[in-house]
Amino acid sequence: MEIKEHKEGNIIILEPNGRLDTNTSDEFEAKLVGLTDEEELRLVIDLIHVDYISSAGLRVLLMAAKKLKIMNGSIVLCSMSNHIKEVFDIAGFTPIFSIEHSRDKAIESLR
Amino acid sequence: MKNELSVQLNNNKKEIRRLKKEFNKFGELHRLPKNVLTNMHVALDEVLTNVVNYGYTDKKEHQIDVHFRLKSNMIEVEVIDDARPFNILDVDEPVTQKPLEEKSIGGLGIHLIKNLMDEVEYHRRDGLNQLFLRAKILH
Repeated sequence: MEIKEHKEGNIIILEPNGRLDTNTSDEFEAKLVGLTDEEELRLVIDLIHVDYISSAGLRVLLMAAKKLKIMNGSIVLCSMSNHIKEVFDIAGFTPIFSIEHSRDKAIESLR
Repeated sequence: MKNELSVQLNNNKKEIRRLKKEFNKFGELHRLPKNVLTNMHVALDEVLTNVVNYGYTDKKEHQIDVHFRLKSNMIEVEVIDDARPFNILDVDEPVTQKPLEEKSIGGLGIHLIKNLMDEVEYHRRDGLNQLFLRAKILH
């Protein structure tokens, strides 16, 4: 899968493209594992180009959030489709993640 | 326009990707609403990942049969495999409201299937698992 990476000051923004499912989650995980070793990482995951997420993708997000907590970092998700919101609600992920409507709001919340 | 699609796949993850492509073509041809298509994609991802990753105790190649049927107001998918018996309806609901530290992914896939699909039906017959997933189509 294509994962764009941007930097805005000390904030890293990842923009995965496509589906976060059983076929792409390994690649997504590899990308995140490389980043989350850093102390106090500020990370935005922009889901604007993600068609859908299955439990394989949820697992990777959960792993990243746990790791960041240990490393005193923060993670904010943004630009979720209604479908992804629904999956987050069903899975009980909505209360445990910081979620913003737009990338700008997500970046602002980390400043 | 045929209202059915049958796909045979082997028990490896790459085949799940191929199945989704075939299903996308079928969905576009029949102009299935996007939310129905997406719900079905997630459910198939969960079901087939379970079968491929945990269903077999040997290292042999196995065939999984998937049949899609478009009915008047619903789409049905039937998955038949010769993996070990596994009735997703028997699996306990996970506790989803947990803080981050205690949260785990166990059972979430099945929980998603049950919530995203309108009907789930399971039979074990002749050494095969037969699973039906149905989603209503509201145009």
